[in-house]
Amino acid sequence: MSGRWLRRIAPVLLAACGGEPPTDGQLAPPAALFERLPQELAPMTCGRPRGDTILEVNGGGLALFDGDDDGDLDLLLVIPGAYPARGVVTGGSNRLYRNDGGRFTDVTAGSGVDLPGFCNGVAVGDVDADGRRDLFVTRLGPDALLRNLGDLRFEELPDAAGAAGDDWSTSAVFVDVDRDGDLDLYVAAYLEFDPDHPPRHGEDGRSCLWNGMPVMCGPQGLPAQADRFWRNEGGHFTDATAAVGCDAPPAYALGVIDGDWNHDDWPDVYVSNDSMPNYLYLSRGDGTLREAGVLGGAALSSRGREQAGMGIAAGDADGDLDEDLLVTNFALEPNAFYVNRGDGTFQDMADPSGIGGPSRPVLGWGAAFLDADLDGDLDLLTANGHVYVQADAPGSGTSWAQPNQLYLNDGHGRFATVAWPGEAPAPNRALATGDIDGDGVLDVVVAQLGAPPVLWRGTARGATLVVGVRGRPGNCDGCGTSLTWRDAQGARLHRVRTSMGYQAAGDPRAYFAWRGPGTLEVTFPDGRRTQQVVERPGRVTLEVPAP
Amino acid sequence: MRVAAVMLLALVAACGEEPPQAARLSDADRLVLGRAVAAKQAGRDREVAEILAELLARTPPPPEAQLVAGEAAYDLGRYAEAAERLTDAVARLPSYLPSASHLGFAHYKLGQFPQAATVFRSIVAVRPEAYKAHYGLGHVALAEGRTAEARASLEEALRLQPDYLKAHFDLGRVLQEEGRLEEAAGEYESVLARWPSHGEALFRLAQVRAAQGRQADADAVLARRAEVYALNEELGGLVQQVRAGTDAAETWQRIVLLQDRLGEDEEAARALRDGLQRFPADPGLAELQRAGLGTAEPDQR
Repeated sequence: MSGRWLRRIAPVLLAACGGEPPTDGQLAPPAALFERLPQELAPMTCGRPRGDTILEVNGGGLALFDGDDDGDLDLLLVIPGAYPARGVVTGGSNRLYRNDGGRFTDVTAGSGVDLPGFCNGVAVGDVDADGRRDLFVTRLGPDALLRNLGDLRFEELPDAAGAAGDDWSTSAVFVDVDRDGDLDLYVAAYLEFDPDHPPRHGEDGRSCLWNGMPVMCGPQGLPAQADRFWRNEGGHFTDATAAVGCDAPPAYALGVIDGDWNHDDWPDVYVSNDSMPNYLYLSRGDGTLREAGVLGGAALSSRGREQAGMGIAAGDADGDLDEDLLVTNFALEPNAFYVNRGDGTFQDMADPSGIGGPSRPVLGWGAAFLDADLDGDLDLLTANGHVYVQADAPGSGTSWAQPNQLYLNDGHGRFATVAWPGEAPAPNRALATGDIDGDGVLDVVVAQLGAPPVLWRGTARGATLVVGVRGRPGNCDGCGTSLTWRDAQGARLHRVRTSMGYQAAGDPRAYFAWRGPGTLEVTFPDGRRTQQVVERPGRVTLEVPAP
Repeated sequence: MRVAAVMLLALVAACGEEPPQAARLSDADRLVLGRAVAAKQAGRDREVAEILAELLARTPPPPEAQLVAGEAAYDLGRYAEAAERLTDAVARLPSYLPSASHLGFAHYKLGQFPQAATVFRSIVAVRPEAYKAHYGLGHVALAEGRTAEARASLEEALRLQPDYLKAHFDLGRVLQEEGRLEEAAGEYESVLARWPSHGEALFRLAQVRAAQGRQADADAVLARRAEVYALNEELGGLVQQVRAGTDAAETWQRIVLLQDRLGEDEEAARALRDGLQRFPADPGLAELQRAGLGTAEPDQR
């Protein structure tokens, strides 16, 4: 009897257990889409090597931004530095690099970016309406605002021009929520943490186990902190968190990004929360926001579970001219892929889209939608790495160092991962995209925990239409502008923003794969619309008209 | 030890047949395996691999050891290890089909949907009455967006096991996808009738009520969900204390009270019983018992 069972079941079991090549939605790459750019950059120290507190696992941030207004992207590394226990001198670790023809030169000395304190993330925006991009740096404790003096020199403004706060801030985004022409500021906060008394497993009745092993404690069991919304009033910030409606209960916020998901031409804000429901703040059309995440389908997994939200990417992944959301999550949780139904409500399509499966074994951080293969649709890149060093224990099913993942879009919102030559497992964290070498193709910088970030040069072949926006004073990149490119093969959407969702800022410009002449439809941040015909690939710069 | 041996016999006879290689085990091996099964049954999953270390180090390891270690790994969330061990165990002892469900779900947890579906199909091919495998097929089909196929598998699971709450929940999701909102709500409510703190069902029910324009009902369900979330957060911390061995009698008192507030009568009963077993002289737990908490019998979910 048993032998008969064996004969009946063997073929199917063998098929399941190695008799067939693995599918898992992984494809061989059509061609190398990225190549590693050798470049000496500073290690992104974050506390102690493989530190065992929650403070030491999120890593630092980075910004690709045009700091000297010369048309190319410079690089800021936000490096947390030494573990900030009492008696330890911390800070001074951030590094600034000038772009010299696609190579970065360290210009930190005298630049003013080497702030004291345990720094985490960065947002880029022109706070004081002088036409230069300023930097908001999040920290454990009061945050910092660096006013751009020109020539890649910065000065720290007292009390961050009113927006210092005193929390463990992670990500931040400049966004003109009230459409008055200047950039307001949303700051995501994580949790209460005392470096001199870090919570430990077994102390104070605390139990911090993962896979049966003692691990670092948190976030569960530690008090969450509330996010802040700072209103820009002539270059000075005032706390308008409750007045604007960003006063959902404190949560373990890690990522934040702006968008216009309900299509009313007013900015919205999305926040990823670790182990708690994510927040979707939709505009009311009057400069205030309302939280609509849970019923809007963008707060939980498709099953209705809280997940460990980390990074966020926003983009029109399914090509229906509204932006969708991707939230990276913990290992063995699928990334959430919230597809916009067109009205600011969402459905998590992680599994049907092919994103859910391959994302389960990894723990994701930074993420970006970009057209990596220049076929006209948005692909997805995620930076991965585990928080627990114990992930390397045998049988954990995962590992501390993990490979980044590139998901190619089939043009209909279905994705398959592709092998990525040269990509090796690492403790990857934040990422930023931007055209570093000015060839019209997006490149990528991926931060790593305790190691220098890695630069990946986009090598896809094909022409592009690069669209930049020259904004008005107070919003010099024209953030919030919506670009719709229509050619003979369809239409694509891009929202001008600098936020990269997780502790990072990137290139706000659009990079449309060139498939022939078409029409560029523009909605400026104040809602005014225009359009223009473009007959050749290359660069187009739009100017936001005066009010 | 006798109990462990009986459990082992029950395990190996799960399909009503003598496993083909069971005779290879020596009496000493059987005793070790019995200890591992006893630890597994007591929820001490972490100890299983240690108990079985010598058996698992053999080349090849006995499939029975792989089976028990694989199930323990699954319950610890080590799905890659679980898949590896159970694949080996089931390939060499295919009569252990109940455990193949764990294998299918391990593949699912790892995002290996085609492999998961293959395992579930293999189970129903030889055991059409295996409702968990039908549920597994429906669960995978739903994840991949094949709702009609998912509905058929889930309905079959429920025909075989009408009280299977996971299948009710997934069927609700299918019906919601299909726009059959009232039927979906019915499935979620059937889950909540037996599991009042089921957060996912509360979320889904709120979504349905909102889609039906019943905003006040949706808000009420969401408020309940928020309350459940907070209670579960606290409960999770207390359970961690128990697992770490840092629990006190007050820990168990609080667990009982929280389970009661969640409407989980059976879980409250279980907690009270376990608490009294651990702290038999605690007056607080005795008081809770006198107050009538934990009078229900534990159920099987």
